[in-house]
Amino acid sequence: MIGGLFIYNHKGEVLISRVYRDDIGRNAVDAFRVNVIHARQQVRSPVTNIARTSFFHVKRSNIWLAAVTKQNVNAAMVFEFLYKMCDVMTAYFGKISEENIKNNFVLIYELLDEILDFGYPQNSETGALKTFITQQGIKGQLQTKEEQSQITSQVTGQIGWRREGIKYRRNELFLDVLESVNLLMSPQGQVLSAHVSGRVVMKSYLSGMPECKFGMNDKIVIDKQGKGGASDDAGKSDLGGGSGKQSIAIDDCTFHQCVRLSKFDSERSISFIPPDGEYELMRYRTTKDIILPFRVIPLVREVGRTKLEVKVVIKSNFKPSLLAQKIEVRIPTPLNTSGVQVICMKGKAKYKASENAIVWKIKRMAGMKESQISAEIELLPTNDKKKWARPPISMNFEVPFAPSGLKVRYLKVFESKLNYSDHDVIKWVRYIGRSGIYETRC
Amino acid sequence: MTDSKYFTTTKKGEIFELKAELNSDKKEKKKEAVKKVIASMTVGKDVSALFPDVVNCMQTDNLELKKLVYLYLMNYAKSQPDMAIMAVNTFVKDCEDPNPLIRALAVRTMGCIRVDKITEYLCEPLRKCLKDEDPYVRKTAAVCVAKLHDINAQLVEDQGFLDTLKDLISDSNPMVVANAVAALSEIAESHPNSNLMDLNPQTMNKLLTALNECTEWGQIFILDCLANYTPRDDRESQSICERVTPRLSHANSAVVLSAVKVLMKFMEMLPKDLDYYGTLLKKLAPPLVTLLSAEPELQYVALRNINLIVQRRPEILKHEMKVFYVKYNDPIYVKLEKLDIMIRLASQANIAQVLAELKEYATEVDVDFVRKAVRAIGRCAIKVEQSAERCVSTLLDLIQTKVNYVVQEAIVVIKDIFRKYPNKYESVIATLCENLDSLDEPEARAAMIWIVGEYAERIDNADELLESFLEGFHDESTQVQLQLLTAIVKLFLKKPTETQELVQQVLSLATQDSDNPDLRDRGYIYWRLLSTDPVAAKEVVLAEKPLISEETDLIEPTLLEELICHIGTLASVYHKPPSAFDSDNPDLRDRGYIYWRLLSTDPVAAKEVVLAEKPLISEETDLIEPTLLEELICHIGTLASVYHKPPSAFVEGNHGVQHKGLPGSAGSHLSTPKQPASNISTMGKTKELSTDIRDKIVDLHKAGMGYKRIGKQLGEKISTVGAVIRKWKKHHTTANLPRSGPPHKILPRGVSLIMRTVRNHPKTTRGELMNQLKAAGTTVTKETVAKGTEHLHRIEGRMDGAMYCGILDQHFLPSVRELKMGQGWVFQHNNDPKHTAKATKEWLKKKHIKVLEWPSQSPNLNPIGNLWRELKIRVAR
Repeated sequence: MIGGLFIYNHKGEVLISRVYRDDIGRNAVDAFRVNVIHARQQVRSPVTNIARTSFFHVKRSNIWLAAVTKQNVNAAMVFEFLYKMCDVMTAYFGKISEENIKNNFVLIYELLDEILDFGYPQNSETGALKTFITQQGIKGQLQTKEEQSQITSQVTGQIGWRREGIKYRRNELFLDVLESVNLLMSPQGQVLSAHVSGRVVMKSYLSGMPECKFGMNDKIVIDKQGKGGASDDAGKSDLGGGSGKQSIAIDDCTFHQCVRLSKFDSERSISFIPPDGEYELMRYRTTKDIILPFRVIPLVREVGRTKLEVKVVIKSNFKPSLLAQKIEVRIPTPLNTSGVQVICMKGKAKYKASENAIVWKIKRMAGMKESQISAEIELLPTNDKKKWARPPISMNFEVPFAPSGLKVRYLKVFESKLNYSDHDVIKWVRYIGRSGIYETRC
Repeated sequence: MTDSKYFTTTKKGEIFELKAELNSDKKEKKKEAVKKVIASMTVGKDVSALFPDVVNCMQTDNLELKKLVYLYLMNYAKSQPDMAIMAVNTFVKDCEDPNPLIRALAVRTMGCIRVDKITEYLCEPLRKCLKDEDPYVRKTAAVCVAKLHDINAQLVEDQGFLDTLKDLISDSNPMVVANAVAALSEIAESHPNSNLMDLNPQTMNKLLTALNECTEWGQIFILDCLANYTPRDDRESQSICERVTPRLSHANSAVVLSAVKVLMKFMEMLPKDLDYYGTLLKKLAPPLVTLLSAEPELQYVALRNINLIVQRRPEILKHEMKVFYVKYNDPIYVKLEKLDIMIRLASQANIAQVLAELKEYATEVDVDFVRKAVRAIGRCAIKVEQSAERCVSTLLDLIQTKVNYVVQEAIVVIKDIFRKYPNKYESVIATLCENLDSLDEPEARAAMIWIVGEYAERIDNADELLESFLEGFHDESTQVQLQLLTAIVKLFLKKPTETQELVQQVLSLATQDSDNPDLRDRGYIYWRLLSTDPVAAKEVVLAEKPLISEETDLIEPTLLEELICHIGTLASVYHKPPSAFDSDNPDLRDRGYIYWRLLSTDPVAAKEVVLAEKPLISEETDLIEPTLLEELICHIGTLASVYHKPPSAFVEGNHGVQHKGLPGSAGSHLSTPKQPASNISTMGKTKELSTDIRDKIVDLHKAGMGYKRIGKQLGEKISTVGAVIRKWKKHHTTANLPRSGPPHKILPRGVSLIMRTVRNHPKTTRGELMNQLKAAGTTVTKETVAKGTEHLHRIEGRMDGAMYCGILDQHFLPSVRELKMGQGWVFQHNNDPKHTAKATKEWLKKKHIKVLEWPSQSPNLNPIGNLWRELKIRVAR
């Protein structure tokens, strides 16, 4: 298991060092600094083996987190743990920076003591941890016996993510369906790969221990319910980009640990007791029938050795009543660019020499529209043999629908002990589609 | 809130200050001090000297302070095992605390104090905690058993903790179960033969139930443990699989990978015609693909594992080629792994897309990645015969780009294609020859030479080409030399008339002027062959052309065989024999001698042996050996699966096994340091006790022990113990008190008189001072009266001119002012580079400072040396 955990700043100075196992010596701290942080070449693997000691590292801004071990550990677990550690620290004191870490080093040691015992990760849910480890020092002296046993049962219990006795005057919940569309398109307009990775983020402000049930237009469920279920939906307004499909095929989905996985596996129903506040209920991935909100058509022409003509057309492909926002097209330019002239129909375009790209920004764009940019790039003559790699044209945008076609059908809340019913809960649903890696080769 | 200030103190004498603060009565001050200690510990300063003082802070009801002290203890207990005993009482007391958080904290920390002596005290509290009513304490105690086992395995067995731990598997709380499983698995690992984890259907059932309820980490522990179970029949393994599959939709990738491991293992048991087998295969693909949308580090781990899975069961991911396409922004390590998997998944169905992708990659920036992409194209050609033609034309396109490393890589790859499909693509040779000059890597040169030798009769100027290589024969690497030798021999056999001279030259170079045994041996083989029977030589070296191309070359099959023996190692990755990176290789040399002997004694037999029909090179030259693969599949998700090596290859020797081999080692180890102590007590004047022992005496006294018991425990006389304690009671310290020494000559009044005089008249001499004192009634010698000097400045890092100026600015002028030198003074320094730097000179000029002229490097011309003499004489007057 994990033998030790070190946190370094960008210079390689140790900010936190906690050793759990005997086989990790003090020199391990230096070994990592010398071989990874100060290494001349960029490290080519997140796992490094130095003198039979393995170092796992992740980097957050300019802070290095390194887990060390000499055993044959579960590598995925170590990385998941490091991410979790970052999440926990962010939840406690915000951004992970040298300043924040130094300011909270006592807290971090306390957390490390609690969530990693002899290198075995223990409960790392922030909700549970915050009940007994706080920034103002530990509670503990003031607690009654009941409170103490409540804490321990929560930390170890089956519902480690929620404490009992939460009360809200107004029971409310917010559902965000956040999707990112990833696309790789060939210059000829052929889709090389496209997928949507989506997240359902829930913010819940519900009293007691509510039992929730979440439903979406999952193809398997809809097919199972037969025609009856489908006609139910037909009345609802179609929020999507124009395709009238009823259900979507989800390739795979993963759930927050509160969801009863065995129930999902057998009945495909998503039922859970939600944590309080904001969390990620599920993640999913679809590859079939994706609505691609934008189409990018590039045209690059080399005029002689010192000139390049670029024309890029973007077409929006969704309902005209919807508006896409924050559109940004990034057209890479060669390293030896000397000057660029840009003409665009809409928005603003600028050549950014430091990023080697023309950045074209459009604030808003309605569906089924088209816009064009043309640029003349002048090049310095070079005798560099190496050809310009022609990186793909990438794009960023935000659209108010789910490109996968996913729709929330219901989210029912049951709380048997307190007297509020499903109808009393105020529910909000929002769909946001963003660009992931949305690239077109040119 | 701003705890960062604790990181900045770097004062001298800090330890003493901290010591005082730690012993302060004020709680806040104590806590601050402990924080400072922890901060210094973090940055790597040795603060072990403060051990007793920190431990003194332990008896507190402030939980935060207590945790900090515990943290300190865990770090330094090992270096001060005797002192750590002091803490035991507090631990034992804390284990009885009504607050479960404190009970757990105590038992957790106690296990981390890796001192053998403490373990005895740990047993009782641990036993209680294992049966604690609170699950939080129980789960902590479960891990503590593993800790204790790591320190003293025998003790754990004797005390029966293992059975208690096994009972915890049936605990009602899922987290306790998970931790117990984790602890047991770790202990079982160090006892390979014991049946600690004898998993029977009942326990399996319990574990599978707990799996649904415990935290994500607990699920990992349980799944990793399940993977070690061998089900009795296919029904059981199917039911386990059914209960594990829901885990594939967990958000934690580690849970998913561990579940995949279990399923991969148990799938072996299932009959292939079973419907369930098919559905399971289908279920495995989506979660594996989902792993690729995780953070890059996890992607890397996932990809290394998918690499194994694809080798074992290619059917799982055969339709998922697209997800392994490389994204422009992927980190390099992800790109390289993806490429590997793409080749494995390449088949006739998807080869067109794959080739298009690979061609795209070959124009990227990262050199390693581009090389691998080019190599991948070659691999595709060898793997999918139908695509070979397209691959070759793609490679030719790439060669046209003239990017050096792309060309070299392409040539290496084309050589392999030639070997797989002899005489099919020789039309491309002309293009290859154009790039001869740009090749600078041994492997590419060797490949090119091989091609030239192989197709010598079709290349008009083959002799010229090879001759050009021969010029710098001795500067070439062995690989190229060997290849060149073979190629020229081939060329000679094909065109004997024009190349007589060339072959003579290369043979003499190889046999006489070279000290490389491989080269020499090969040279002799050819020489004998050629000189004894040229016809036979031709038959041997050129063999039957239409059959297999490899056999015409003596080294290629050897190399290939060699590589096949080294599959999975660096050698097969580099496509180089180990000798290329491991200088002295007896294996290769021995083989050379065998050939030599064979050929020189019985050429006919040799021919039969050496030229026996060889298999074509296989499609997958770097497949992992089946047994290793089997083992690695059992380690899916672990470090072993990332390195693609068995755990034994990188894990340190097992501690547990050592413990088992030397059951008594713990006890005997402890008694040794005591021996010298008893010897000392027989001497006349005993050596004074170390502060540590004195501190320990005091601590034991504080813990309520009598003089007699303390004396017995530490092996000191009762009277000594008494003396130490009495001193501590009186002065509250165990350190040596300042000793009195001779009385002061000058009274305090006299001292102030001196100071006053010097302050007002800095040019006062010692003689004058002496006279003044005499007037005041004290007679002293001149030496007793001290004199002030300039400020001292501490320098950090390397000093340069600019820094020197800064120092002068800061200290020099104030010193002059303070010493009240007035106007008539001269500044003197030596000719150190920083003193003569331009910046310094300018500074001195600006400030109008008179500098003493300093001749370079000649002490006898040194003006200040003479001045010192003069000064000494005058001062002494």
